[in-house]
Amino acid sequence: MRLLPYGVAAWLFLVGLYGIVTSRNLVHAITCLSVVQSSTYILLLSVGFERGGTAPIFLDVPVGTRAVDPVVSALTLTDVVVGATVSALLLALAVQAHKHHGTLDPERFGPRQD
Amino acid sequence: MFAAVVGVAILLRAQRDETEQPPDEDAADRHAPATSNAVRVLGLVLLGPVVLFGIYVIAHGHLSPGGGFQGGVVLATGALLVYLSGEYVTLRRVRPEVLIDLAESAGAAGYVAIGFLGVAAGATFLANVLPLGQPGALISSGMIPLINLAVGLEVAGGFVLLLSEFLEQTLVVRRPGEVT
Repeated sequence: MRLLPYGVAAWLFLVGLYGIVTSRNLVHAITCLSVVQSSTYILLLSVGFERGGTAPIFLDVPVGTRAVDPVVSALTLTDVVVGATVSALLLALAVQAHKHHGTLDPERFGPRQD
Repeated sequence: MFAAVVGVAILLRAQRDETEQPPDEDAADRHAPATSNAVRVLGLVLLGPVVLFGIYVIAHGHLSPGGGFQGGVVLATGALLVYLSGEYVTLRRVRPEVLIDLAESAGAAGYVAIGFLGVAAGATFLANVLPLGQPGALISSGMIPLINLAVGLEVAGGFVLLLSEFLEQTLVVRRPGEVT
């Protein structure tokens, strides 16, 4: 089933994008962004996966056996941590937006009131 | 990631019309309940193992899954445990701001410095120029443990900075006329 991971990644991406576009609350939009990011993690991992490969640690396994690609899994773990800090930055922006407009609803942001 | 943390620190600084009010001044009308003894004991008991586990994950990054990013997050969880098991003032005493800024900047600068070590030895940026050693030993694989250390410092400092910025925003910074 080579298509299933790519299908899951595409579905998550579309669902998250729909959530961002139709969001009435900034915090909800930021959570939907993290759903979109998780679709990219699944895409990365499915690119590096080898069917029947072992874990990529060659201490007790002869060098040259088929192993899962370690680069993409390291990239995904890094991406998770960086995604957390980017979400923190966006939440700080939401805090400032709430201070300026008194509301978290993006539909009700008018021109600046001060 | 460094840029995101610096962005949060800039965005959540006290604005011109806001003052910093330490939370122990208005303890009379605080509506938050005191932390239960079970949470307090569990937090204190878990603090040592969590910090040790974070250092272990950072140090063994080249031998088993882990490394700088993952171990740094585990270390930052230790600071979160201090906040959960006590009041916010305890966290402020335990995390001196200078130390956190120093740790985060040293981590980011250390990464670049180790990269230029490769250039100074005649190879490309971030090339592995230290001796490689035996596979499986702790002191092996050249510069990878050093980079893990720098990244772990940076991630832990960055996350503790994020945590303290958001907590200060909620608990300490007040506008004039705003009730707790």
